[in-house]
Amino acid sequence: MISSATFHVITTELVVGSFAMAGICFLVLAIQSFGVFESEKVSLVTDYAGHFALGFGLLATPFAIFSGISSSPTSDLSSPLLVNKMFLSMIATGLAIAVLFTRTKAGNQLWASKPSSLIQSAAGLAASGFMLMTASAGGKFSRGESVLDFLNLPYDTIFLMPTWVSAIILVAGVLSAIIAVINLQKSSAVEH
Amino acid sequence: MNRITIVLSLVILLAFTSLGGANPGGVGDGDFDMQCGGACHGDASQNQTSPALLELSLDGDAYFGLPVSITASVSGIQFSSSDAIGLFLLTDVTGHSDLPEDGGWKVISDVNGGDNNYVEIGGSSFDEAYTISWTLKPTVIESTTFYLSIHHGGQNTPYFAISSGLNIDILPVPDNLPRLSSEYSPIISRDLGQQTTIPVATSDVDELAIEWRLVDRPSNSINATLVDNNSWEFELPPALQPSIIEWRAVMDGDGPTQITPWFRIAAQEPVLEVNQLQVYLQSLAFCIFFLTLILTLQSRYLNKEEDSPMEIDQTNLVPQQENSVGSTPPLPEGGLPDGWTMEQWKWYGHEYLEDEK
Repeated sequence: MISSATFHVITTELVVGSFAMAGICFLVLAIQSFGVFESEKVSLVTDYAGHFALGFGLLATPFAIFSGISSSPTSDLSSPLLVNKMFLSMIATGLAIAVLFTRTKAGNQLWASKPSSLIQSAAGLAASGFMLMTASAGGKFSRGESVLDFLNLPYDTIFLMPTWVSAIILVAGVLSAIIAVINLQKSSAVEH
Repeated sequence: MNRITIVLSLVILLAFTSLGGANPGGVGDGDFDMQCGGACHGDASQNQTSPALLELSLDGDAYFGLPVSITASVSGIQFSSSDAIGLFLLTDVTGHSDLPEDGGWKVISDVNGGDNNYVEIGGSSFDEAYTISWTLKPTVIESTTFYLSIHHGGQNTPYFAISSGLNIDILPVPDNLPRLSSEYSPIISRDLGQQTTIPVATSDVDELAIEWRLVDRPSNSINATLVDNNSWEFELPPALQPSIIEWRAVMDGDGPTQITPWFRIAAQEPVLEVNQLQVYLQSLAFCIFFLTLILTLQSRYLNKEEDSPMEIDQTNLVPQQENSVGSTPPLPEGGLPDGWTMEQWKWYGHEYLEDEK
């Protein structure tokens, strides 16, 4: 048996490593989307590697979140840093799910359109960035310092909305997501 | 779709294992009965007997309504990988209704600066002895038997043990005994950097001196200031980092001089008080918002890309139709030959003209 803290370290290393790998791949894809350079081989490798790494990181994320909560000193959100960690990791999760879903539905057709490829690359990069910021906040919480200290990120400040605002965003978001998924399914069906 | 459902179900099920499993790293201090002590290690029936030697002792006499210290001595522990041990102060061994509160006692402070019957302490080696104490106050005049229970890990096995009982008789307070007020409860926590004024309520006290110290450091003495009849106060210096200060009162009056147990006050980061549901809901809202944002943008641009080739195809069709109409052979001078339709002429008119030539 291992403690929650040790399990959290294992899962966060998996998450951060995977998201960092995905981030590099999406950076290359973004550069290619701007037409700075073109290589079919590089495009193919970064496409598959980036999405696979993102998917793997996404699978490990719930374990990292729950083990992180249970390994905190009071097993709950007792610090602004922990609350911000929760927000950042969930934003990264949402972006990563969207990126993977779009890639699955649109297939290679995704890269045929410049706006779509740019959105895909940017979303993948953002997912990686938010997850790395989450890891940075974790370092700040446990060791008092992190690699992103030079940015002076306001980890001690919480942006907390009223519950009813969150509920409205949630409901509107779910409805919009359903519409977007149907549209994506439609475009996918037209393509094939 | 089925594959996605199966994967999602597996992820959700696996994600909850860390919540429902054992807590080898501890659960944090709290008010727990002995059954929770079993639950903390997942299955109480799997516990092994700990080789730890446990002993409880009472420091001085226990008077009704006055604080008193109960000291626990622990030795011979086999540590788990996390080197943490959990200690319970109990008033029963049946596994329920065994908190000090159930026996008519109130926990005023514990070793970690809280007011819990269960505390976790860290260790560093085998066979190290620990001495910790709880400060409690009896709220009823009746005898109580206290027990010390321990939980720790080692060799991938949870260990459990319970001490023999310590019976404590509660004495009525003698007349003129210099003492703390029976309603008095000391402050047990404060924020970092906060200069703290501690109020003290007493009875039959003429002079009040305070001794305070950092844990395991030499003590300092100060005189408390009389604020009002039987109300005193003194100041503790601010703490710059999380730490615990111990203090006790030396009370002089008509009766014999009395010294209170050591009270503990913990300096800590201000605790965030936030509605957990609000945070979780907002996290989910953020997740769904960004997910939807990307999906919506992608569906819009991808559909646009799908639409534009179709438009091109349709426009391409128009000139083809026009060409085909344009290639309709010119009608002869007499007009459409008898028995011909325009449709027939469009396709076979060329042959008619050839034959005429």
